[in-house]
Amino acid sequence: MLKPVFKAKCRILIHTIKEIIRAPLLKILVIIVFMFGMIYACYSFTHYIFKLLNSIEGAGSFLCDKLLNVFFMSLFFLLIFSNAVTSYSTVFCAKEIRMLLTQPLEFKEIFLSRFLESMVLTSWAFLVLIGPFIYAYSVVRKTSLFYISLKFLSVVPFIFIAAVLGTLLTLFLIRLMPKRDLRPYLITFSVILIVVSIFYFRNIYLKKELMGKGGMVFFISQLIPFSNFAEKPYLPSYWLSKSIVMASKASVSQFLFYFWLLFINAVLFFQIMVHLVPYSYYTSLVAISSQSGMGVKVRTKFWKLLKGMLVFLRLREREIVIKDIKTIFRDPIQYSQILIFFGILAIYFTHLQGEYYQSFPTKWKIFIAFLNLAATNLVLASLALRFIYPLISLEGKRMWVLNLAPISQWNLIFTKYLTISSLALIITVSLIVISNTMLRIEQEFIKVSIVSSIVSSFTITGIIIGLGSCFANFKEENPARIVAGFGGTLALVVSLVYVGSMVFISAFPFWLHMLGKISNSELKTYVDLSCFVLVVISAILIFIHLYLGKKHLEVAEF
Amino acid sequence: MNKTVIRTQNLSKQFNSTWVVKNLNIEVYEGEIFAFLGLNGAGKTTTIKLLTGLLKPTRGMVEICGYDIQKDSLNAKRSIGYIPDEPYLYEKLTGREFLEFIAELYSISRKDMLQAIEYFIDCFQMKEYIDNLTQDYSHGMKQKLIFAAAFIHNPRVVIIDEPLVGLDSASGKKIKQLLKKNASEGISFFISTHTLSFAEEIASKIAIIDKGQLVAIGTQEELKTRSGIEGNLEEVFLKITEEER
Repeated sequence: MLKPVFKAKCRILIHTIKEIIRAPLLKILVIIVFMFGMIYACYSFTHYIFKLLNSIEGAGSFLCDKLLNVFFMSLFFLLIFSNAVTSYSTVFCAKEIRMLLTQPLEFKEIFLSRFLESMVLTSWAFLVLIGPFIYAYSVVRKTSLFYISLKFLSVVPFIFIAAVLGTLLTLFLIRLMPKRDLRPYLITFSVILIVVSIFYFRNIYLKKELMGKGGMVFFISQLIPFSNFAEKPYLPSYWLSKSIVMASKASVSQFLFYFWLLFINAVLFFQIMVHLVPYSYYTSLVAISSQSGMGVKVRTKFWKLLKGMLVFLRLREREIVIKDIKTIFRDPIQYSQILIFFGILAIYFTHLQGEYYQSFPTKWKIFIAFLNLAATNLVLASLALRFIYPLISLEGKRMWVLNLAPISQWNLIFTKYLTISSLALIITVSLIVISNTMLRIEQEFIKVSIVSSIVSSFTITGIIIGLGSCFANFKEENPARIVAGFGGTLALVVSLVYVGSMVFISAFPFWLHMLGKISNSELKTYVDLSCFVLVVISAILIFIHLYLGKKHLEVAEF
Repeated sequence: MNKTVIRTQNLSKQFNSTWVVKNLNIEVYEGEIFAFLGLNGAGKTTTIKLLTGLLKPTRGMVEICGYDIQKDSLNAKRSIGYIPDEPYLYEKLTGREFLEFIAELYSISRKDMLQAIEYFIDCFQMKEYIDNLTQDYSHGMKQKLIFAAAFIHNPRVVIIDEPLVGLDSASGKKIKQLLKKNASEGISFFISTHTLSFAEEIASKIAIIDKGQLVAIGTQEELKTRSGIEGNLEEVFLKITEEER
C-alpha cells in the first residue's frame, strides 16, 4: 500500500525540480557553481589534511585512521540528534500524518513512509560532507575506483543506523513524557550529560586508560579529543571507518566483515523499530495531538521582567523580540539541540586544560585555537541554518499580522537580526574566551579571535536571516523541509564559505609570522589590518543580505 | 429499519483533568444526514477526531459500519470519507494527481478511477485548474478537491467538519444537492457545522453538544418540541444551549 505514497512523493520531486529549472538561469548557475565549489573546497581541505598527516613518517596512516574514527564518531552522534529533531517534526507532528491516518493505511506503513522521508531530509546534507571526505582519504591512500565505491556502499547502512536510533530516541521521549513539558527534563538531562562527560573524559578515562598506552597515543589522544573513545568496537562509526580502512588496503574479507556488521545491525535496529511501531506509534501520535487540547498554563512574570529589561527598545520592536524569544523558549525541540551542540563544544574546550596542551609549542596552540574558532563558527552556522533560517518562513500565514502592522520590513528584519545575533554573540564569544583561557595563548590571538567571533556572530545571522527572507516559503510549516530547500542550501554554502574565509583572514598574519616572514612587531600591525578587512567584508555581507531580504519581503505575497 | 453506520458508546475524551467529550452515545443510520451542532469549544472537532481515529478515546468506543475504529481501523477507514476543517493537500501535486493518489490508496481499479475523477471534475467544475499544482488553488478550489477526494472511493459514511467554509454560493448549492442525492442512495453524513441554515435545510437528524456532553438529539420537530420554541433552528439552538448554561 506504500506504492501510491511513494508515487506521489516522486511526482512532488519532479514538480519541484521542474520549478527549479524554470528559475532564472543565472540563479541556477550561481547555485550550481556554489554547490560544486563547496564540494570541491571540502575535498581540497580534507585532502590537504590527510596528505599532511600521511606525510608524517612512521605515524602517517595511524593518524589518518585516527582522524577517520573521530570524524565518523562525531558525525554519528550529529546524525542521531539531527534525525531525532527532524523525525519529531516529520514522523510525528507533520500535518500530512493527519491526512494519512484517515486513509486505509496501516500505522506501520504511515510510519515507514514518514521515517524514510525524515532520513532523506536529514542525511542528504551530511552526504555532501562525507563524499569529499572519503574520496580525499581514498586519494591519499591510493585506492582504486572499485574499492572507493565499496567505501561509499558502507555509508548506506551507517546512515540508516543513525536514522533509526534518532527516530527511536524521539519515540522514546514522546512515550516517556507524552503529556509533559519536556523542557525541564531535557535541561536536566543535558546538564547531567555534560557534567558526567567532563568527569569521565578528564578524570577517569584519560588518566587511567591512556596514561599506560605510551607517549604517542596519549599525545594523539590529547590532540584529537575523544580519539580513543571513537575506537570503541561497539560504535557503528568505528565499523564504518574500519570498513573504509580495509577497503583502502584492498582487504576484501576484512571489508566484508565490517560491512556485514554495519548491514546486519542496520537490519536489526530497523526490525526492532518496526516491531515497536504497532505498540507505540499511534499512541505517540495521539499523545502529541492531545497536547494541543490541554491548554498549557503560561507564567507571565518572567516575560514582564524581560520586557522591563528591554526597555531601551521601542514598544513594537520589543514586542517582536519577545514574541521570537517566546517562540524559541516554548518549543523544547528548538533549544534542546542548541544545548547539545554547545554542551559538546563546552566539554571539548574544558578538556583543553590538560598539562600536555600547556607544553605544546605556541604554533600548535594557535593552530588548535584557530580550529576551535572554526569549530565554534561552523556549529553556529549549522544551528543558525537549522533554527534561524526558517524563522521568517514560519511566520507563514501569520505574516499578515506583521505586514499590516505599522512596522517597516526593514524594522522587522533588523529587529529579528539584532535579537538573534545578540544571543549568538553571547554563546560564541563565551566559548572562544573559554578556549583562549584554557590554552593560555598570546594576547594578539585573543584579540583576533574575539573580534572574529563578534563579527562572525553578526555576519552569520545576517546571512542566514537575509537569505531566509529572500527564499521564504510561507506555505511550508515543517522547518526541516524549509531548510532542505533551494534557499537553505545556498545559505549553507554561503555561511560555510564565510566561516572558511573568516578563519583564513584571521589566521593569515599568524601564518606569515610562523613562516618567519613578519616580525613580532609587524604581527600586531598585520593583525589590526586583518581585523579591519574582516570587519569591512562582514559589514558589506550583512548589509547585502539583509537588504536583499528586505527587498524580497516588500514584494512578497502572503 | 435502516442499518446503523456510526455508533458511539459512552465515548469520552479527557485532556488533563478536563473531559472534552463525555459519555457520548450517538447512532447514525444509513442514508441519514446527521448535523452535529455546538458552540465554540463544545467538543465537536474532538468528537470528529475520535470518530475518524485521529484521537483515541479515554473511555468508550466508536463503531463505523460495524467495525471498531480502534481495533479494526483499516476496515472502518475504508468505509469513511473525511473532510476536515483544515484540509491537507500536497502543494506540489496537481488536483488530478491528488485524486489519483487517494484513489490508489483505496485500491480502485484504473478504469474506475479515471471515470470517477472525470465525474467529479465535471461535477465541481474543476476542469480549468485540475492540472495546476494545488499550491495555486484558492480555499474554495481546495475545498472542492477535498470533497471529490472524500467521495472518490464510494464511502458509506462521510464525516465533514464545516462543509461550507470558503465555498461560493453556487458550490454551496452543489454540495447540498450532492449530499441529498448521496443520502438518498444510502450514504450517511455526519456534519459538524456552525451554519445553522445549512443544517436546517438538509439535516434529517440534529444533535447539540455542550461542554462535551450531548444536550439534545432528534429531528428538527423533536428539538422544537423540547425547547418549546416554534422558531427556526437558530432560535432553538440558542435556547437549548442557554438552558444548559
